[in-house]
Amino acid sequence: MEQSLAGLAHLLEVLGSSPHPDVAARAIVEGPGAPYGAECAAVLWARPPHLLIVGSHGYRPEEASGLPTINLAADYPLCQAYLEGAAIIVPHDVSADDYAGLARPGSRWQHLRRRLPDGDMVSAPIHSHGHAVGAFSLNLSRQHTWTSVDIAILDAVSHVLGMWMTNPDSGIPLEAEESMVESDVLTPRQRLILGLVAEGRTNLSISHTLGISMSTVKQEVSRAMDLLEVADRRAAAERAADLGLLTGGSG
Amino acid sequence: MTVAAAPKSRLRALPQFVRYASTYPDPPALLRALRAGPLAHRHMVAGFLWLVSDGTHLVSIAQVGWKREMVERYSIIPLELDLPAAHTVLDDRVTIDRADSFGEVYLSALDESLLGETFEDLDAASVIAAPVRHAGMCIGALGLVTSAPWEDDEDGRSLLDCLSHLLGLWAAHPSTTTLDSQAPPAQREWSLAFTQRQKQVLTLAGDGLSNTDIARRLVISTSSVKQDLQHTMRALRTHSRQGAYERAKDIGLLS
Repeated sequence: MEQSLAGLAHLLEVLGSSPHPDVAARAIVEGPGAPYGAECAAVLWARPPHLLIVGSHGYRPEEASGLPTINLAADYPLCQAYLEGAAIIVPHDVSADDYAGLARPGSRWQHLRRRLPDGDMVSAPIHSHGHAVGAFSLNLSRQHTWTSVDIAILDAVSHVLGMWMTNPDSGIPLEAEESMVESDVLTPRQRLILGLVAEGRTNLSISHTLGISMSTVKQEVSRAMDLLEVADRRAAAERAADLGLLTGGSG
Repeated sequence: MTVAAAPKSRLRALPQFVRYASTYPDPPALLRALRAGPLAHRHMVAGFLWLVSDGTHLVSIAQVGWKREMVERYSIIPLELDLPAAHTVLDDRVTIDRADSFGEVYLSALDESLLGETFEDLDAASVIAAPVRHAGMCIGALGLVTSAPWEDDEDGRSLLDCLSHLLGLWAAHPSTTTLDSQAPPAQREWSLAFTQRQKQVLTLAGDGLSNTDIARRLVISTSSVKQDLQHTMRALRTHSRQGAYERAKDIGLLS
């Protein structure tokens, strides 16, 4: 128990200093996460229908999402944890039957799975005033037999993060607003092209309209599909629309 | 090293308290929850929660388990006093004292008889003071009285560390209403909590200096001198400056 207390004390101390969210994520890994073999963590702020990644620590470039947001409708444990207000713990090698969102070939989850094959992934809500305001994830290098005491500690982390995040001094609510509006994940050209895809136009038609070559159109659509983590152009257009990326400003 | 597995309910007490604190309860409710929760197995019987005001005083925002006289006395503590709560803020460290020797150690700042009585009623064993921390600063203090000796082990230190920062997070959050009104540092008639300056004034008065001379010597106004003397005379229940000086010397306030 001393280990958990000391870990929680470390997290509390860091949070009390209005840290950058990446520093807070690191404190989760090095504090309460340490006894469980935590390697990486992410902290997310809820702006329905999205979860906005505000901070992370320990992920390799190929494991980190290219996008700042996760759509709450996506089939990830993180979304489920937020929506249900309860921690969800799955091993990294969970099957696609359980979470289709994790199983997409070539996805960043595959990289994490390769690096930490024997570990658990913890997805938990962040609570304040009795309701969920965000979520955090913790990737562990090993599996653990979770007891009610462990869950209670995760719950404490959940509420402590909530106290920090909802304090305007933390800067997070404001930052979240700004980065939703200034999302520059897709280039202007990609957004134009996807807008036309959403109208049902063919690549040929798009290339004529925009005065660019067909191969360029195909390339841009392909890049957008990678960034948006979808399998076809229609889904890319839908996802981009969901994220408000297709209109000039906020969606 | 854990000697024996602690009961699960006890291990859950701190996370439960964290959950409660994140609903931003008012300070007295929070302190009561502390006593009934994570500090129950540490035998907390009474406590105070103070916040630093103006950088010069601790002002009480909650108390639990005390008699009315104690509450009034320790509702405002100048940081220059020789008391654990002040030390914990200025030195940013936890203080742990045995209740039975408390009066002796802090004689100059206390009405020993009153304190002795109170501690007896509470069946107190230890008196602890811990800083309340936020943003790298000490913003207040938590005072505890326990009925069993406080074990200063790793578990205890981590627990106080957690509470230190958790109370800081709670206090600094806009949803927490702590100080309803900023009470001016009141001069309580019967308090023997003398400041350094009051002692200086009293000593000089005992040496026979006039108010004007004292004011000049200490570089303060004559009205300040008069106020200080009035306070000390009332507190020592005498009508003369000389009498106050003698009494203060007798009970060791001017050492």
